[in-house]
Amino acid sequence: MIVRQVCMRQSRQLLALNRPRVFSRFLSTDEGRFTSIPEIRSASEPEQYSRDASKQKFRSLGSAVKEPYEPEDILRNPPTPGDITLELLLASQTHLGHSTSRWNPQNSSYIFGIREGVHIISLDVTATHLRRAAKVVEEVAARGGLILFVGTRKGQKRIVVRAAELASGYHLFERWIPGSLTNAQQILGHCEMKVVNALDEVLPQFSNGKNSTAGAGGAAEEEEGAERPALKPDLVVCLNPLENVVLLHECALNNIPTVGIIDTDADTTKVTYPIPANDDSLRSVGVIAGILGQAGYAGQLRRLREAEHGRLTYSPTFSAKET
Amino acid sequence: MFQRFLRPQSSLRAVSALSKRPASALLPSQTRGLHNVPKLTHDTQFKENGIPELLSPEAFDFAWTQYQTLLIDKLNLLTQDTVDADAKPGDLLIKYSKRAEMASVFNYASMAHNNHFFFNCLVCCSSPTPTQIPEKFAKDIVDTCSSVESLKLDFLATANAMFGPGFVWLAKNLEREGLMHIFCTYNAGSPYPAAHARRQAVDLATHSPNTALGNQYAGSMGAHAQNQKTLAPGALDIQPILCVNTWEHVWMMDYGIGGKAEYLERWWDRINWQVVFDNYNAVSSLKGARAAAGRNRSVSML
Repeated sequence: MIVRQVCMRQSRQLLALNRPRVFSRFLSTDEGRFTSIPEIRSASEPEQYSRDASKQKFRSLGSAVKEPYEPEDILRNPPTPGDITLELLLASQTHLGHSTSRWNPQNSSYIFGIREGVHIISLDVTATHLRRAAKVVEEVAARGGLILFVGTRKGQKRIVVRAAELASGYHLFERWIPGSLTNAQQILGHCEMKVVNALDEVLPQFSNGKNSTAGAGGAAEEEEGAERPALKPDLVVCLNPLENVVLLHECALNNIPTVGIIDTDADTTKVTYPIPANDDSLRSVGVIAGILGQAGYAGQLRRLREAEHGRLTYSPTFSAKET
Repeated sequence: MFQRFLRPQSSLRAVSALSKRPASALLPSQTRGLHNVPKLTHDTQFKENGIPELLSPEAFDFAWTQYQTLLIDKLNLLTQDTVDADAKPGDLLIKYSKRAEMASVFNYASMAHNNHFFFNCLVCCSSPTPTQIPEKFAKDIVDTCSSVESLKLDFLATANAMFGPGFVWLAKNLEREGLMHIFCTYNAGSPYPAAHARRQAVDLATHSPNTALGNQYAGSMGAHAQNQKTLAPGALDIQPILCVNTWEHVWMMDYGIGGKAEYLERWWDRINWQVVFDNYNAVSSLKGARAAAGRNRSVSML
């Protein structure tokens, strides 16, 4: 058998090396990925994600490897909304839908076509919806809203925690307890609550934590010992809406907007801002959650910058007069 | 499907492909390499003046620039479009140390690593006096080897005794504070315990493989010894900190075919002891620290 040595290149999932800088009209402050302002908690690479320096030193001797792929980079340095490109989405497998027999026909406008018995999601549609969702997250964060990131599948814990960390929001990676919104006082009524000022500094005289000395002289509106109404999130980002139907229903009952990753077999009407993408791949979910986390970070940055200049982007619960 | 058979997965086929087309003859569009020749700290000075008192600029060009480029090109050709395309040489050599069919990849990765290690440990400027050994390090050397001179004698004797080409290593013992080891690796053998199958520490004509680096300390083997998965039974947990390249192509140009001893003597005066000390400090021999490192999510293989 004569084998001709043809110069062959297997197509490879590659992030575009020289990404053209998309005009980031979604970011009000284009300061690069992580700007750490001393007063504001810096979201740069936290210690648990950084590489073990001593081992890297010897392991990398011998050649300077250009842009090695490291799965941890999704958590260390998530992409920003400005980095959304079709190449990124393709490389993260966001276009892979489910088997054609499992589709939800309502999603037909999101689907590009079929390949090997599987629906392929249109990446430009994904990009559009993702940018919209990122804008929503950023604006909610900029107005001091409470954002809850939910991802209950196996392996999504670190992704969800990282996104919430970036956006100064909240995370949920275990099962949602039904009634946490509709029966909030019962389920979440005993939770510690804190009151913060415009610069996110905790005001202990209003907060009713387990250790705080509540009541003395502050919070004139509450009686001593009564519980405050449990808080509800202002935005819920759900990474697996198929498994969180109860959560999304409760959010709808309480007029809480939701963002969700809608696969070809998911119900697109269950969320307010669907992102048609693959919800089964951790890489895909990691990229999307990372982008939304970064959007939240940008929003928080903007809000705190405004607060430094004395401008409040939301209407406060208490104002200075009432103390 | 046909493409799968043509992809050079077998090392023999890959090497035969290389023999038909030397690396330099391939157009840039036909090769996609993620490996690049690393930049030495004193690259420009070395290129102009060589390593003063040790290697002439031509010899440096031969032993580093050309040779490392060759190793990198071959590594690229062997690993491009495979899962190992962006793997660091240290990871590659450990991964393939137990697989004879991937010996080619191991060889080039290990050689690239060892060569870079060697050139990293050399001093740059032509200072007449050799660099000083840092105080604490000298103390540790005296504890282990009774004096710096005896370390030098041991080291150079090992290097001179090697009949074939290879490397000689000074390594820090990670289980006992202050203990160091000298051993050699022939050809492209690796000093790392995780790659013990390809250490190549002995000339098989004169010794059996088991005589090298025995560990006679308590706790070195058995079910509760550290790092059981990566180490050979009874292996030493060490980290190399200094090496000398005894391949002929490094010294033959300047010292002639019989000049190995002189080359080794001159090399000792050209060691950058600060780098060696940094390597020494980079790895902790404390058991607590190593256990904590093992809890990291990233796989620690060295």
